[in-house]
Amino acid sequence: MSLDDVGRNAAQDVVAKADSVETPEFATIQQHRRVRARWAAVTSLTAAAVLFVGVALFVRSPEGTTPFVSDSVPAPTTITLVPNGEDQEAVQDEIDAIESEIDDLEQVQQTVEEQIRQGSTSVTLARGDGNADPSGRDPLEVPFVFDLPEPRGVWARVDDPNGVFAVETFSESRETKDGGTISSSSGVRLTGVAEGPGGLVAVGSVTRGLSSIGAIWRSTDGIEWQRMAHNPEVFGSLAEGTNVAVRAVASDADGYVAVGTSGDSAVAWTSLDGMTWDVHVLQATDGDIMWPTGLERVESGWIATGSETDRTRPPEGNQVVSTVVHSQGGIWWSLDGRDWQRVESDSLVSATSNLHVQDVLQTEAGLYAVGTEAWDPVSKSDGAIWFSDDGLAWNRVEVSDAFGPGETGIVGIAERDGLLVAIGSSRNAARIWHSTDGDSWTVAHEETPTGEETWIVAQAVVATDTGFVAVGVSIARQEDGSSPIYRIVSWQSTDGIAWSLVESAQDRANGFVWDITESNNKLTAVGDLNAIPIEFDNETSMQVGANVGAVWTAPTP
Amino acid sequence: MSDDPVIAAALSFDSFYRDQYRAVLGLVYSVSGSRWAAEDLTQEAFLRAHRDWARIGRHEAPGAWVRRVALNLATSRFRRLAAETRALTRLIGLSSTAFPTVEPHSDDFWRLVRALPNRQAQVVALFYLEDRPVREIATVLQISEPAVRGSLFKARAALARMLGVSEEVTL
Repeated sequence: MSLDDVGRNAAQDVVAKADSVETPEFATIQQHRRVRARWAAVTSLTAAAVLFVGVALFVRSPEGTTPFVSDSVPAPTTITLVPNGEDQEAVQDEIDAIESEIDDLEQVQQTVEEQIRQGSTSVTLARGDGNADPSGRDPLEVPFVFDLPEPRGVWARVDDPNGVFAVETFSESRETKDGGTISSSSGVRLTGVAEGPGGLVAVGSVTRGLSSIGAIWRSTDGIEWQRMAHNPEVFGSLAEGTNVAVRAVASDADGYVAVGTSGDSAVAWTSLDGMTWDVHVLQATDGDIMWPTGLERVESGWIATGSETDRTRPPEGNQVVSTVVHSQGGIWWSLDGRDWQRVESDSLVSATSNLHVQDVLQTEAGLYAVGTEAWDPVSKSDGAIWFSDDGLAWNRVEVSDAFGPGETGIVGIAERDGLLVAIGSSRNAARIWHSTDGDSWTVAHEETPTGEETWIVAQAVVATDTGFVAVGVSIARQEDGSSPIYRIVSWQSTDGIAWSLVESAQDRANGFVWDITESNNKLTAVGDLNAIPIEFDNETSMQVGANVGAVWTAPTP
Repeated sequence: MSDDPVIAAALSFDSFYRDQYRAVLGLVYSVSGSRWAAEDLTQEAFLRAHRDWARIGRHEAPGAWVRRVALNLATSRFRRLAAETRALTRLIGLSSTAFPTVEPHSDDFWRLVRALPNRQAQVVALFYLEDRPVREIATVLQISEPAVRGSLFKARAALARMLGVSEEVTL
């Protein structure tokens, strides 16, 4: 018998055992975990006292106040050795256990550091056993003052004093046995932005648990933003458990059009002023998942781009587990943003690969669409380009190997002075390409991860009067496998050929950017900031996990 | 407009969860050896995926991501458990014994796998249980392909020796 025979038999045995376990409802798991998190938080309050000491190591007290904790290091923990003193393994075990505890404390410390990086100047922790405040102040509030580096560069995150991009307080908060409350996981995400007759409009979604609703924000100057009044008949209702998200927005002189999803269907919204919106069916689901992610105003009307994924399941008994799904490219056309038709084209369907259309661009020559052709959900993909004279009949462009080999995708396209620029990623690096004819493409710039970074992706590009600006995200892994750190990055070019990375104030922002637009010599990018894992509001309340929407601005270079 | 069928509840994370839950459970079970711990860690991994679903759904292969997180969680959990177990064994005066030579039964196979260095155990689980090629294992664990091949080579040699079987590949 060979090792592989043994291994395969053993694998089948495990698969059979796993199959015999019932898949629990996800909602049940969430509820269960919330209760556990609550109790874990309460017991960790003792640990929080120790945390203060750790925090004190990198915090200095503000002028004129008595530091609540001194900068001194605590006395070393006493390790009791086993009687005979010879058992090296036992000593090692003790050390392992202590190191493990330190790991946990460091995680809590990172949580607090993250809150501070995101703008908190103080962190309030609840009082509890073992957490009494020796200075007698009440509540137990520790002011933090950091020596943060000066912002380097042109981008700045817009302040949100009224919390219009923040998480809403949901009525679903539940009481615990000790009278505390737990608010459920929720968040805000901005995925699209456009300038139109009503000013800047940003679109996105508000989620709570597994439900989500579409949401719209508007600004005249890009600095002060307002969330538009919510109409549940148009953008869904959390109370009813809808799953609505607005993905992209575009505009012309007469108003705005947005596209997104409701459940598995594709939906469009229209508005004259960005304030009041109507909803229209873009394409209803026939069992497949309709997924429009891009939208542009073109000469012949409006074009939405994305894909349609069918719900093919793995064959029965297949223990190899990748979800077998199949996507065809989606291009939808509308004259007015209200009535839509799906483009039928052989170039958008492949039996052996998955296609997704990310962006479309009107040029004098015609329309270019860009996206990804993937053969394998994990690794193999190439950039793909389509061309159309009228927006209705599309053909694939045979492109050079600049868009390969493997793990490459294109997410955006822009044009200026006859030069086409496409952006995306190849393997784990951001990549920018240029072309004069749309057929022959050259790699103009590649941004490779350095240090802790594992990925850099370009997300969106815009052409301005003076050149091009692209925005993206760098993703840095954390050793423990928890949520990675995301940073916003930006590139600019005057000619589309020579590109430079812009160091920016956003370097510290643990955020994700989705879209960019330019108007009145000002760039506006939208996205979200990463979750604050646990927040102690007061003695008995906590809130778990929340993303907040974010807007960044910069003067056009 | 409230009865508009366009606005309906449906959950794409939900289908991901249902499709992948048992497979990830099996993977964690194989490296942890405990069904209850495996369920706990699998659920934790899916919760983390859900919390960040907007990103994970788009920018990383979600199946690979949730496996990586689950395996990492299993690593930290069992590092601590192993230390506690060793301490307990010492206190009650038992000495841990070396693994006996075993017949190649499934449970024994996985027990030996779990005795391997952590990275090797993960690679072997992905290789046999999920039938994944080296490249995909590298993607899941975010390590290089040569590192996967190295771990796999060492692990297979050790397993074949411990099990007393041939290492040759039969396809």
